Amino acid sequence: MILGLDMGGTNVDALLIKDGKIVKKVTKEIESDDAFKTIFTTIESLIKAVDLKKITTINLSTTIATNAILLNKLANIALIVQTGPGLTKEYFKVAAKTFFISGYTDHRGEVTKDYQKEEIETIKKELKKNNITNLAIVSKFSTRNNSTEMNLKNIFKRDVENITLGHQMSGKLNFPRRFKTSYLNASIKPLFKKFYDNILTAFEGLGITCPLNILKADGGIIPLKEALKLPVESIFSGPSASLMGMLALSKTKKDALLLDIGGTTTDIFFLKKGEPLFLRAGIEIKGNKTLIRALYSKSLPLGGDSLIKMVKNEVKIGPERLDKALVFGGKYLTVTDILFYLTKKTFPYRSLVVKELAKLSVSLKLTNDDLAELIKAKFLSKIKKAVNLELSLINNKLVYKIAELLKGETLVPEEMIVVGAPARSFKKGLEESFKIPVIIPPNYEVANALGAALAKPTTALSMLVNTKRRKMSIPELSIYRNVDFNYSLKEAKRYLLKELLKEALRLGADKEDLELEIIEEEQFNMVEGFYTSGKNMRLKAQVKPGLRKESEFINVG
Amino acid sequence: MSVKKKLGIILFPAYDWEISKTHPERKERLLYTQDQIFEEGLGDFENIVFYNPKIASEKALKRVHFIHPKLENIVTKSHLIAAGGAIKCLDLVMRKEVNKAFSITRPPGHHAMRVTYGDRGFCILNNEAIMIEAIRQKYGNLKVAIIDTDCHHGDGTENIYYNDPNTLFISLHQDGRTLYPGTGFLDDLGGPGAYGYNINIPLPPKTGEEGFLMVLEHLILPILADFEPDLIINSAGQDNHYSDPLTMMNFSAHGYAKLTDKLNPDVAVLEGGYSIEGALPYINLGIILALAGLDYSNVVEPDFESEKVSQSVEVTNYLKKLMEEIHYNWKNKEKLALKKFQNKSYITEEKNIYYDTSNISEKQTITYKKCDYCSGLIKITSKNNRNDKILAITIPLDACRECEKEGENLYHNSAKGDYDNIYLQNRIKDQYLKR
Repeated sequence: MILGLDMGGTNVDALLIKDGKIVKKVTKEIESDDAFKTIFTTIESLIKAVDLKKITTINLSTTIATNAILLNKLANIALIVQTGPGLTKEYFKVAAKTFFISGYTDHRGEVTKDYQKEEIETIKKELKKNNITNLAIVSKFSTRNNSTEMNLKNIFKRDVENITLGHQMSGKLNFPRRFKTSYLNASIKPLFKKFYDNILTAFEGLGITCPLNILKADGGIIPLKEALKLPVESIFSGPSASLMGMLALSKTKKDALLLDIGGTTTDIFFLKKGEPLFLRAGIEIKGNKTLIRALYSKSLPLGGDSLIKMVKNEVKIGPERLDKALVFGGKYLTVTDILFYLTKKTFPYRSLVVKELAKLSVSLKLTNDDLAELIKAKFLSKIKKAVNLELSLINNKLVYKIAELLKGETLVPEEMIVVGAPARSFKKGLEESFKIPVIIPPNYEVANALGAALAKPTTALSMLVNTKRRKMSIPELSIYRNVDFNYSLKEAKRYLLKELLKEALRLGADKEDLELEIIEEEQFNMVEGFYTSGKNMRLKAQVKPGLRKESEFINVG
Repeated sequence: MSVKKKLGIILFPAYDWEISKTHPERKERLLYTQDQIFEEGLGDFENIVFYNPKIASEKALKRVHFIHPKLENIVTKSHLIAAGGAIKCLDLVMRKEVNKAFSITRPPGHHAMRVTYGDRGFCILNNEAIMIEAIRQKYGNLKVAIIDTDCHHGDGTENIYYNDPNTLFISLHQDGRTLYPGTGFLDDLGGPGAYGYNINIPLPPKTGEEGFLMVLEHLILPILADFEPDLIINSAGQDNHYSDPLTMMNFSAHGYAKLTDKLNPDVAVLEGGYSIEGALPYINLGIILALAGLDYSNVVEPDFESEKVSQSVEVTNYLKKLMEEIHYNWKNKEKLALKKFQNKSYITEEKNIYYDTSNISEKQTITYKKCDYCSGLIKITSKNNRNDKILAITIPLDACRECEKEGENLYHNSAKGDYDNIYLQNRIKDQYLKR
């Protein structure tokens, strides 16, 4: 049995799956600020009368890292930053003590100048004086050569408890993002460690001993223990749980548009031939652009609980959510109330809804019915506008090769998969607006927990070979090695896939349910004075994202 | 430091195109520039937007070039993309979607002349000219200044705009006596319709940062102030760098950034530059930051030393004299033109042109009609060592009725004789014919 749990903004959902069938599920309202407590009580009630030995895996999608950042519960940390030539230091400002050191690693991975000993002595003193025990070390082009970051780690490892290294964030080039990602990672490490310790103790107490995983923004999982090093990878796992759940429930192989209409937000996703799209650079959180690999998603501040109000003689939906809907005992008129009203059926607090609606319709000189229809249409048009904007961004993605430019491949959704409480009420409207079939899968209320349960370990590696310099590197694994001049692309691919397999298995992947793929390979002749002086190879490989094979048995009605 | 400006960038390295396996204009050429741009995170700046290029149309090429014998045999997709990228850049500026734009594409174009038989100095299509003519077609006959800061003389651009008074062409280059293509001297001031509007600034080898910036501030900027262009275009070659393998100059990335900042072009178009690991990443970064109005003070090559950009007193003194002479020519262009073209109604020049990359030798006779009402009709007869022979007629955008009529008659009534083809470029009607 697999246990999947998803913590949302207001609810936590958990379920148990056996052979692809949902055997038990629980939904609880979140009452405490303590994520651990919420998870614990939910799981406790889910596993009542369940044979614990039969639970083989627990996958958690939590808001712990996300909330720590959003609510500014960050640890007191310091950063050591080596910018070298390029942007000035002004661009590297965060709410943490930042030490800039001299020296530079260039784009070739050559340390062209080292930092100064005196700089290190000053930092040591300052750390001690300010009692800082969490450190992030980031250097420009550390993905090309991590030696500066590694040297500094060795120098400082006895002075602090936690060290985050820039090159471990991602293999991608983007120094400002590496800086921000490292900053966030270091800042949430202590809190995440506490969460980890609590969970471990509590689960032990319950008698749970199976592997524990945490869901990432890329729709994959990593062992909770691994997340201790990189807790920042678990931010925004909610949308990825939602997308993976919708994938499991729909099983489409087409270009598709996916909508998760929730209480506060509507999340938009896209599939290309049934496969999810990824963000090109990385996810953004609270204005911080990071290198965290994430599924492409766009969150609109628009949902069932969005407030309906008048602004300058015009009716507006959201963006704020102040309370649940009137029909569920809330205090303000919301989208959900409008949808109930339009059913023309009886429902709780109907008179209250009518009264609130009338307040608005009178000032607009409309009937209640017309206003309700207008609000519904407005909601749909907001979604349509946002989807079109995202599609134009996706379809104008930057390319660097002639063949890609000429091919001009575009994503045109052929169908739409919609989940969320208001999904059914919007089905017809969405179909009319987008002119494609809308599918509302059964069991969608558990999509997120299901997505978490069915996620697989994922990882991606990048590799660079420079035979002129006789060097190769896989920054994510801190591999920096010598190669000989004749090292070939074929050898590089083989080596990269071997390392990827090792890494996937280390992260708990099932050898029988694992697909590795090279997603990018480029080879350049390096030319010097009309002669070939070497080869420059760039490769990327990943565990193909997807669902556990159990997902094949999920009942899709 | 100037204010932030919205900058559009087309960065298209064409990783799947090369002239040959070991040619310096190679697949790898923009690889390290792209690495640097990615690592600096420039794509995340609010005022910097990256775009894909578009593909230039056949008509866009024909507004500038006579491509013979067949377009398909000479021009590759990469050339069309480099030209199309430039057009898109200027179009973004004209539409005010951005304040400035930078086209970082390959191959370069400033050695491509009006007649194109093949590849010269890694160029087949003149990207800047194709860009300017596309925009003029849409927005009218704008006054354009092109400042070519490539280390090689922009002989192609010179050739195309030699007789156009609406286009001021200034080429800053290593003296032609010491470098390909061996042209670009002071006396080449333009045709009878635009005498003085072609300005060559042949710099001595080992000109340093001081020299470049002095020429810019005390010669180029005052001339631009006189000319009052609607648009300033920078042919941004990057081979004046001290580490460039093909040239002998002492310029730096920071110097390029400063030059860009002071020149303040509307559009920059990458030309040459073959120190692809040691120079291009830093120069391109410097130009981008300068164009976007961002702080470039920290753009320094890792191997930078001030001696690498210094220049001798002899060079400084030589430059001062050179500047004086060029400035004199500019201020007295009308007088000089009068003297040179007095009592002539047609001015004929002979030209030998060598296509180093395609190994073609061309012999051209260019005849400019001296006209009181417009810049005048241009007639070119050209033959080469592959036995191509053409007659090519250009009716310029500002042509008077008389010149237009004369050009059309010439096209229709010239005996085909032993010409392979007769071409007509009618810029007024935007019509391009061949018979």
